Amino acid sequence: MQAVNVKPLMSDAVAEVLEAMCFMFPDGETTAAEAGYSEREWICGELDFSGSESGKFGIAVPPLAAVAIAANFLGDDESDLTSKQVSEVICELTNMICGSLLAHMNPKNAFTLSPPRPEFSSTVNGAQGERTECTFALDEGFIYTWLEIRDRI
Amino acid sequence: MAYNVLIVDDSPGMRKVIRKMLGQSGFVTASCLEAGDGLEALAVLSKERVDIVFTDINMPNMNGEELMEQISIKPECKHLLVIVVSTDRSEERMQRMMALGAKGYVTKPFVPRTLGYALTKLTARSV
Repeated sequence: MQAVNVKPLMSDAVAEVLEAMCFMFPDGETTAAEAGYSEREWICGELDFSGSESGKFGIAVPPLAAVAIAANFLGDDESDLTSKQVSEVICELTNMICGSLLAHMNPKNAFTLSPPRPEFSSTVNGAQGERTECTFALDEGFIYTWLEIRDRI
Repeated sequence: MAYNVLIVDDSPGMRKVIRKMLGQSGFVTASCLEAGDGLEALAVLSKERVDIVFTDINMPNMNGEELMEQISIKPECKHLLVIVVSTDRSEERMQRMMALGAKGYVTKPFVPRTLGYALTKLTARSV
């Protein structure tokens, strides 16, 4: 699938998951630079997937957005959350957004996702396949998503 | 009737969300146990009385499909009602899990009423 076709599917997957699980509504594309956050502060999740296509998927959000997302997801007050809980929620969101995206890309075929890990493969030049990136604005900041496809069967 | 429920998912956050949604849906649970993967789930099932299992598929150590295979061959697990809760919504996977004995399939993400509806359907059929 061409990179240009993946972006609208990424947008749909992010919206579907954030709306259903967090009652949050992404507000169009943006860039992390516009939002003014340093990459080092981002709360991240990434995983490997395999099936009719294999590769990696990840998300990253700035700290304030991550706490808001986790609070909405768990139904808890932001002040009650630990950094571990916030990281775990971002990892679970990575899992769900990737699952939704792969389902939109290939509705018939099953896929396998690795357990998500709180890491960030940010270097485009180090990508091992075709990489698509997209950042979506949130009231609390943004959510940056990326997909790297290595192999297609 | 109050049911004994086991939630199997490697995400502590997702287990908490499912537990909360069960409460909000009005479904009456006698107990709500948790496991982080298929192996832990089997350990719980060997010791505790469970009626309904919610299981994810992609988990470390033993995934949901392997757990279903184990449940399907254990006579002491014959009574279990299993609902799969997974990001995988492919026909291929759904058919595989139903063939292994799953009685319901909820895809992530889901809204609270989806879980409640799956439970109502499941428990109405089992009466």
